Amino acid sequence: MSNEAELRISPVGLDATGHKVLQVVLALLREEDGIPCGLLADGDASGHLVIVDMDSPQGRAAFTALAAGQVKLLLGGPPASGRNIVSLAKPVNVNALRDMLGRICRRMRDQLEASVHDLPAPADTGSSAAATPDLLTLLGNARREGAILALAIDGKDLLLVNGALRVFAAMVEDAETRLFAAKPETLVSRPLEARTFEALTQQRTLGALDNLLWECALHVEPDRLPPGIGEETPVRLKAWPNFTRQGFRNDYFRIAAALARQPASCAQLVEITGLDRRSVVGFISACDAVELLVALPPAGADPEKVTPLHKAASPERRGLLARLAQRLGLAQA
Amino acid sequence: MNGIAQEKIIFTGPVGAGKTSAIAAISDAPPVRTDVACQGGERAIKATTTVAMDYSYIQLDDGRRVHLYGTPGQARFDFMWELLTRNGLGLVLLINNDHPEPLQQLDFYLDAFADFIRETGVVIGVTRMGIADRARLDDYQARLFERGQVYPVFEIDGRRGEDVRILVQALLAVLTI
Repeated sequence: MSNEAELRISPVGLDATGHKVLQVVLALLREEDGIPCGLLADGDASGHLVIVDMDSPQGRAAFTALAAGQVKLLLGGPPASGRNIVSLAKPVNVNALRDMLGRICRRMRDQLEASVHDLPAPADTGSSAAATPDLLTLLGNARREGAILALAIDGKDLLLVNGALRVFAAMVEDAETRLFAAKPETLVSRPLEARTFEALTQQRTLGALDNLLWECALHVEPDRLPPGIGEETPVRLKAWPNFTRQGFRNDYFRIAAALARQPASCAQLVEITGLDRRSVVGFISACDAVELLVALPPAGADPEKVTPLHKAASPERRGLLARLAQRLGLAQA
Repeated sequence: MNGIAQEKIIFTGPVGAGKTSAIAAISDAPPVRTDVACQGGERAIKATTTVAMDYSYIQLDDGRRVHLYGTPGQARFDFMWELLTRNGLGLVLLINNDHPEPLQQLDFYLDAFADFIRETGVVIGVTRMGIADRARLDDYQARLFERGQVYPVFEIDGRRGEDVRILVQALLAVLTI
């Protein structure tokens, strides 16, 4: 592995003890586990992986500005998971942090070796926050933090988002289309007060934020897996998407059914379902955006056991069910 | 109708969850219903409710029929549930979100039909969301996750054929994958 593929790790808001623990863990990862990794200066959030102390004001402030492409390990604060985010309870000890960082770094290293260019680009060095967040990151952060904000392009508000209520209001007819097509650097977000949101949206129809996130994930990068989830990364479904209210492709039912049965990677899902990779990637991206997925360590056992769901239908029943699907005008289930 | 047919999908759930409407939304004939006046507290929910079962069917192109049975809503008729589910294809569980304790209803029916679900599969439709908002869909998902069960659970309007078809589509995916 070349130096170019070294994983850069950003500590943000860690106290002196946290720094010492992290330095010991990185030394162990480099020398005993063979994982090339380097530590950036505290507050430099430009690394591939950002370790944020959520109990510190600096950490909390920096967290909201981190880029979508950066993997975030949150220390302390409320438990969090989802797109590119894992959390670890405090106090953090060397063994727990080594185990967690080792798994993250191996996964990232695999991606890095597969294609250096596919890795999320780090932000400019020296910046205390990362590059302009993209739409998916802004919406995801609002949902996670219960934030209320307005999203604008060229000085015009297109969308108002209330993460606490998990709703949004489009302020112009083609707001979603324009936002999905917009470059991140053209997006401007600003916080709103709850009463302002209420006043501005009184005459507007509110939509479910999860539905918007779902659509956004399908539109923004339909062919790329979310950062932190590689081709061979097993993922587990926490819950089925709400297909009656979210856009779906017929293929998604098969993928969801397969993932509900057992954790599987993108590559395995393509094999199990017989569907094309694009469908599988779309489903994984959309589920990740609304935090319905958990990424698992490669070949690792799932610590949270999910009970077997049911037996598979007999061949005769499968024939009957196929005819029923046809009769109801459903794609072959 | 001689006996209970085997090629059948069972619709279950508490009183007022919309089983009859859901069956009617996708069946080829209006459901045959057996209704009598409700007793006690159930009267507040519906003027009449099903005490035997709902029945209808979907005719397949090879002449076979997939039969749709709605179980009695009240738990006191649970003696019929085993009979109805025997050799069934799968279960559609409808939960009325307007119920005072909808998540306990979810637990109750999943436990009551646990053997059948293990042998086949289940899909859950939550009706009347937005009326009471006693629980959000997240709450149902979280409850299933706590139980170690990743079952399909959707918000539905039982009167909408499209919603019911999505329920059935998920059930078919679960049964065939």
